[in-house]
Amino acid sequence: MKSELFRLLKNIIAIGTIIIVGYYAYNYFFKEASNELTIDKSPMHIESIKAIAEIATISYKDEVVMDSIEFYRSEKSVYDPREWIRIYDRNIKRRITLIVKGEVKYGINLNDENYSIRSNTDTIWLYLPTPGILDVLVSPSRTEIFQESGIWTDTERKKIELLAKQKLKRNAKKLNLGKKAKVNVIRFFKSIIDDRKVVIITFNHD
Amino acid sequence: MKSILIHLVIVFLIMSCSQEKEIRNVDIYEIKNIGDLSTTEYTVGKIIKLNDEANEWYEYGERKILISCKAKIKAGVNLSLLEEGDIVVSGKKIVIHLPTAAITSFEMNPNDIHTEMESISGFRDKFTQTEKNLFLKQGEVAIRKDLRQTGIIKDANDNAGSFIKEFYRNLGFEEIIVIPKNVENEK
Repeated sequence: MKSELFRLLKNIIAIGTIIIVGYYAYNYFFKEASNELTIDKSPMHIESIKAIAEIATISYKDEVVMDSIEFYRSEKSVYDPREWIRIYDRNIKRRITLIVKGEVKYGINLNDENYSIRSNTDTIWLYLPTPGILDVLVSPSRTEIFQESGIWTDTERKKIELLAKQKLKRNAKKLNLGKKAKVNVIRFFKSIIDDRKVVIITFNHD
Repeated sequence: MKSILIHLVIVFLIMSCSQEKEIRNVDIYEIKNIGDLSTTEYTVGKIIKLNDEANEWYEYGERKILISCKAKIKAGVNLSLLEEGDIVVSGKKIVIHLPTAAITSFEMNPNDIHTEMESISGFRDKFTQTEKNLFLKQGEVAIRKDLRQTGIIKDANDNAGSFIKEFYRNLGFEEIIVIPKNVENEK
């Protein structure tokens, strides 16, 4: 009776081991198959339509890497076999690395209140707002999740993506593109205005 | 003690074969002079649906997800495509050959992306961020495709024409003729 119970236990352990090994083998070999998942068809709805007048004169394209790592807080013990995986993982609990490609656009956003034109027979006076950043463009197709280990929530990922946007903006500001955008705005308007007249452009018109 | 040593040897053997993904050191950027006049802004929404049923014998359970997202799209004309002869002035009359409108910018702000529902049953894994990004990429492709059915380009052409007419009227022109010029400037 005792030997039968022992045999039963041995069988259960053997089957359990096979299931666990099989599960990990499946995860190792077949997990990439999830890349083939395709979304269902669903309609797109228009939420708003707006008439605008934005003149973009500088486009700055950049790529930033955002790496977020969380380590185990406690020290690992080499004597505890359960913690050996931590040695393999360099004590990293979870990690996510995003490569975000984005575009920063500089220019002016015109409306009835911030721009005006005056002219006489030989001179044109153009009052414009100061050029600045119009858009920091990011989208999923330009975002690559380079590596992901552990569980990451949507909120955490969103936070990393927003930090990436800020980084893109900072990089653009470092290059002093505001000044360049101003020069281009002047060039832009002079190219579409009758060159027989003198054009005087004044910025910071509010 | 002997078993601990054997375990240690196995762990170190695995570690010695491990290949850590190297993060690319990125230092590439591009600055371009442009001349886009964006005249229309559309905000569109979409619910991304995915039903991942068990397809294989070893899979048990199913996964479902609904993600809502918004995209802000601007369209307008690329005025840097204006060539010599596209603006003809004669007295108080001006004729402008205006390039046709195209999409000038497309943005899906991370703040406007929300997982509305996620359901996992059986022994299935939770959706990872990598998978969610893949669904969002497909959603973006679908939005870009559906955009062609909207009137965004027509609106952008009309608004660009109105802006140009108003602009030249303020400059003192009395007759302003805007003629669309067909050019390939899709972004």
